[in-house]
Amino acid sequence: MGKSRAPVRPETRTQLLIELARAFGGAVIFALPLLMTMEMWQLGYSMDPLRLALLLLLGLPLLLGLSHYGGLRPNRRFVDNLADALATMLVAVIAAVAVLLVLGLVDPGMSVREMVGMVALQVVPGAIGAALARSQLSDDEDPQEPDFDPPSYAGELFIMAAGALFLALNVAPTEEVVLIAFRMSVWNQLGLMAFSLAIMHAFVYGLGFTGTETTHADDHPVGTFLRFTLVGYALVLAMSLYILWTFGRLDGLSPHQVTATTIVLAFPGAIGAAAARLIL
Amino acid sequence: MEWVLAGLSGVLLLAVVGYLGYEGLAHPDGPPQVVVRAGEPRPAAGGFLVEFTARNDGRTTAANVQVIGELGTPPDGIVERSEAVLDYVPKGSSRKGWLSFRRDPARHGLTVMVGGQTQP
Repeated sequence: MGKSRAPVRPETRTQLLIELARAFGGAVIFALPLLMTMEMWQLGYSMDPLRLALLLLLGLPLLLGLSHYGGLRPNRRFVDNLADALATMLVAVIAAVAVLLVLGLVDPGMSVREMVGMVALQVVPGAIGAALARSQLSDDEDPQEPDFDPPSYAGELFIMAAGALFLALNVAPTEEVVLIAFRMSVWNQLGLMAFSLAIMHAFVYGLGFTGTETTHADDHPVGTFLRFTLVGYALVLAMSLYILWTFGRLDGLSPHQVTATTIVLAFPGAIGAAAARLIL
Repeated sequence: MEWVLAGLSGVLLLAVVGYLGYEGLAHPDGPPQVVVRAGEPRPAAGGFLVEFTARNDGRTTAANVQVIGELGTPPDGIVERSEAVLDYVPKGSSRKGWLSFRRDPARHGLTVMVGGQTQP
């Protein structure tokens, strides 16, 4: 949770290039499963462009928040965070184009719409990867920086949302999510909800992973469950619904199917949210 | 503030669980039932396009749904036939597609029906 290190502000050009390279690596690592998924390529051209544009627009405040809450120095100006967010998006674009070219997935027969769509779709997950790589994989230490305070309640929720978004974005474009939902009975769906909640709670509060919260003397276990796990899961459900809508997976589905598909996607989302709280 | 959010989340969760429970008890599983309806034929390159809508009124999702369109009525017999396959038609949901014909469906009489389907 509260990490005590922060990267030294790059003063030289070499340090800046190293940081960019690290961000590039992070973008490739986190976006690679998506870049090599067939449905992602198809979504590039079949997806509603307005929904894709909305995703990109909403990605910017997400990256701003990641920059602010994610382990870098807490006193950075808004402008610094904004520059960071934009830089990570640019790095993600470059990483996506590079990988798509090398893999031969972009060929001259494709329309501009198709190519732009394929790259644009990779920007948000790639940029999250670049941002995480910069804050988590850095080995710069500044012993004079004090520990910064653990995140506020809003910060915790934000971190959970980012973690959920990351895993959900990787899984949502695939056909398997919808297929699993089609095959599930109602009892499977209810069981999956309970299982997701249990795992979320256990990860962070029960199992003693490094970085887990130590419960304070005045903290009620039920209160913790209600305020963090329950709210976190509701947040994950909302985000899963949004992602599925963005990829057009909900079009034409009955309300029951929409619910089922959302619950299926919320399962990796919940794990992502719990993992993010441990890591960030 | 945290408790307000916790309360809202609890309500949402209970609503979802209640809805699913109701669905499970009131509408138990059964076979799929796909019905298909054709729209008006439209001229297109190479002939005519007929849009169809397939809706699943049954209790299970249908996969690999075969939609068949036939032109022609007795005594002339079947003049032309066109097929399309839908990957999934989830229960309670509808899917659209198009059948293409070389001859004008308005002149020959069009019948649209569902062939076979599989379990997903």
